[in-house]
Amino acid sequence: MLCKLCCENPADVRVQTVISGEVKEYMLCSKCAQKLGYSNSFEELSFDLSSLFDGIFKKEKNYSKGKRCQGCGLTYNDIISSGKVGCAKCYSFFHDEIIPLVERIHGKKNHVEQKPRTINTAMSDNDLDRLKESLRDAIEKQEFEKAAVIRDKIKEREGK
Amino acid sequence: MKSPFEDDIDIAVSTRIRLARNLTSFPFPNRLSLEGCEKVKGIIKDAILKGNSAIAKDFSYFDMDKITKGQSLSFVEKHLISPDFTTNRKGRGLLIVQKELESTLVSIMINEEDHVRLQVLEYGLNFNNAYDIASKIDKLLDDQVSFAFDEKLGYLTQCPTNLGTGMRASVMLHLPVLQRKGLMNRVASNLAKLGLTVRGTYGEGTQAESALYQISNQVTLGLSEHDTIKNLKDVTAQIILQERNMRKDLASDIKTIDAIQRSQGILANARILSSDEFMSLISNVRLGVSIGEIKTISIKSINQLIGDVQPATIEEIAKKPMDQRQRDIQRAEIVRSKFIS
Repeated sequence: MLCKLCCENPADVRVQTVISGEVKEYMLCSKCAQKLGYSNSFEELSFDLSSLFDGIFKKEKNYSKGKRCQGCGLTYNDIISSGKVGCAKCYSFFHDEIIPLVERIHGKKNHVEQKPRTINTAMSDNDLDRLKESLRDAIEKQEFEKAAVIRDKIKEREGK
Repeated sequence: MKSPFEDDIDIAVSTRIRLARNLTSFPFPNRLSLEGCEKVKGIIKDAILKGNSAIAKDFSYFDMDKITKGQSLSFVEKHLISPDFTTNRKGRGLLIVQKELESTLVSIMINEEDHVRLQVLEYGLNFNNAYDIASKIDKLLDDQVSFAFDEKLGYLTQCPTNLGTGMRASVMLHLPVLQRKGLMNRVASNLAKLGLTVRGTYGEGTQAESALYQISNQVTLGLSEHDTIKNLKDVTAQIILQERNMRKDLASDIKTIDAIQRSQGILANARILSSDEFMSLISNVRLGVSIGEIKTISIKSINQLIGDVQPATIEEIAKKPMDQRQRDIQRAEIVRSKFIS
């Protein structure tokens, strides 16, 4: 059997991965396996990841052609073809494109628990201020159902 | 202190916690200029070495482009750095804690895929300790630098597969019996339901099976560090139990005992040993020690031996470059000395 990746050398390394419940097995030559990091426990699924991205990319029609991230200059195409974003800003810049992808990778889209110190104080306070403002807003507009939801959110935050 | 899981050392080879972090004010390493890389290196290095922490004095720092290729490959074989980290060494830095006779290895790769790749490796099964250390160093960094973070997506990483906690926790298990009975596929699909992954390294030849499997979390978003580790711990305990129960039946199986004793015989007498042959034989011997068939060598010495006879490490210890033939001869000599004494 020839290596599935280079189709040149005989395949002598069996690589099995399970991503989101899907079991896949590849026969690779030792060179390609090494290139992909499978001969070492450090590997980060580069092989499957690119095929995963590829699959999503083909299905995803609604991507922003040519738009470049203001932080690092990457286009969404660049991100898809490499499987890597260029900077933290990419996530907000390509938010609408990346979020569905993130959901498909993790099955979820919201982080839980641990936060860095800087965010812990600054961002949460911002968040709380924003919530209080929208509560006042909702009450002024007499949108009481909405206000109740926001009130619960504030309680939850302040209770933490 | 003896960990409560030290008894499982015959099955659990090592435990690893890896955290991915990035600084807010720089693009990720793939889009970072060499100048930027140098700045990031300086910031992280100072945060650790000059940080007000007892742990600082244990770290040694290396500029990757200033160490030899051999030394960096040896770091790879010791699982301190990734293979990729040695290929392009410009703009990359490494902080490590490596103490003789200690069961913990800590490494911080600067400008690998992310600005910070913090890794704690423990021998045997010890998630709690590995996580505690990783968490302490993470906090030390967090006190001094600003990490890229989003309320919804968690820690922002170059690859979306690491978003959220940025944590990959894993355990390396030696599962020769589950493998021999063809049960690993079933284990793999069961793990998948819990957002866990199993990866096997089968060695380079189809016959050379080291039976080492790495189990790690696949999902990093939407699950806390604590829950992720709990999942892994529960599952690992189950797998170890299965492997152990099946090993009991093997203790009286003449074919298995024959394979174990033959493997020991070759290791104790061979004059030329390739890496593949060694890995498959040592896997049998490891099993033999675990079921009480071999008493002349300990699991700990076997683990140590596996590290010592990797190609770059052989050269590093011998302090000279060698070709494959010379290494195979040197390997046989090192192994023989362990089995005779």
